[in-house]
Amino acid sequence: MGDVAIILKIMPESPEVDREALKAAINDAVPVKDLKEEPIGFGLVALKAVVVVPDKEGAPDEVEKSLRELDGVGSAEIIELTLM
Amino acid sequence: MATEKPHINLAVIGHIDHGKSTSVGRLLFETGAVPPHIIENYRKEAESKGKGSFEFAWVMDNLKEERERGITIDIAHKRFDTDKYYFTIVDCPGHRDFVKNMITGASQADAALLVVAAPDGVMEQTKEHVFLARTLGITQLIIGINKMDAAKYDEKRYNEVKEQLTQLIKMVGYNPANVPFIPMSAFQGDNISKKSENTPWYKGVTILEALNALTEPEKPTNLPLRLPIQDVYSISGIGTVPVGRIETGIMKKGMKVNFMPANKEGEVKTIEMHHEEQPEALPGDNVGFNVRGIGKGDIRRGDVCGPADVPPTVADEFTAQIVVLHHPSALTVGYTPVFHCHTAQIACTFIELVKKLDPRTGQVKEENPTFLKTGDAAIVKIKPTRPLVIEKVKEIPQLGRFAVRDMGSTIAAGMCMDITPKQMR
Repeated sequence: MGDVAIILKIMPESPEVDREALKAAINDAVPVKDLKEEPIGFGLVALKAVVVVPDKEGAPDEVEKSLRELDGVGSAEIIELTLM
Repeated sequence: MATEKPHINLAVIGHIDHGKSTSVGRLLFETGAVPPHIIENYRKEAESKGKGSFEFAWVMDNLKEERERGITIDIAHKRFDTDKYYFTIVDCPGHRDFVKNMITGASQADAALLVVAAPDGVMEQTKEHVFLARTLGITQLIIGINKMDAAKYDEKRYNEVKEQLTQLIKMVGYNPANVPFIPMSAFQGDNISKKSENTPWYKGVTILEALNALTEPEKPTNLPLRLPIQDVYSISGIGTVPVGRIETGIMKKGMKVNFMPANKEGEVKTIEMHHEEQPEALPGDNVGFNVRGIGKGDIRRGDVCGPADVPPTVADEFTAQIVVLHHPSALTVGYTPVFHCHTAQIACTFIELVKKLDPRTGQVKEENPTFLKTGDAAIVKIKPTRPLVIEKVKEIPQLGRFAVRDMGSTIAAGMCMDITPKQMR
């Protein structure tokens, strides 16, 4: 029954991680609709992504998991989730 | 999107097919939040096809297509304005993954609109969502008794459904006198922005009036500081930098802080947000801060930062009220699933099932039940397998709620009522 939009916050492992490469990897890993930078501090920049997946149990977890497995990702967590 | 109006996060809940999405679409439509070109096309279509034969469903479809084409982070949530507030909508998905997110995510709902179809009345998910709303700490509730057009705008049917709902919400602790029960049709637009001629017997408020009458949420700045750690960095030339979102209280430069369960103390040297130094940070702020006296290996994700004189509470055991959302068989003493509480994910054991509550009456149905199953609400005792920071929901609600997950499914949601603290000093 429809799709859900998930907003994730992805933190790099360190400020030295190549952000452009990381963005490309994120785009390859999951169906990203929008991706932008959110500066935190001390050179750290979070990436926020909107990903749209089918509204079925487990689908959001899968997205989190595939992002966590990427090189250079320190953490990835869903911060918001809503039906399309 | 700058706005002077106070912001309210509205969760739209209810049984599948009772008209949640249509209600959201109707709210956007009536408040002018549907893009003008869609409205223009709607008018043209309506004129060419003749009024009456043309339906609101068309707007819904076009809205959906538009979102699918051009969704961005800024418009991921549907939003609309009333005279008083600016709303963002959490349109709850059909599966239960949203529960964990509503507990640990960034936007806890301030109010809920419960949609119940008049022809069906109270259904399984209606009950589940009402329990959940209460467990998630949503104190403000508006009920839309929807599809009144399909119930021939019958006052008798409205009163029957209203009575069912009154019983249901009373038992979970809502006061029905403070909850508007609005007969509506999202499809036809009855009692959304103006009183409908189809329900002359109804003297109450419209949906928009009820939304305007909600109370603005307060930022919990008067509670002690609680910042659950998301990540910890060691940055050359600076030192240890934990990152996280402030849930309650205020973090100030120079403050002496304590991290629990690590039980480490330090001093906040600098706070940064949006790459700018801040003298202080408030609830909702995503910050990085540099602490003197703490090494990167001393603390980790799931630890909570609080003031040194009011440190976060570490539970040896705690008593909780839970609602079982989905369990394939029966939940018994000894069951040890993963509890998701703020940024912590810790396996916890059910050590006692104290009592089972009857979802129909709210009374104690059974003392010391031997098992719990899907749909049960209960008071239980829990023992974390590793130290866990949790607070009583009455004292610091933002850190008093948890989701219970096992094998990729959300099993239950709950709130912490009482704690046997672990002595850390």
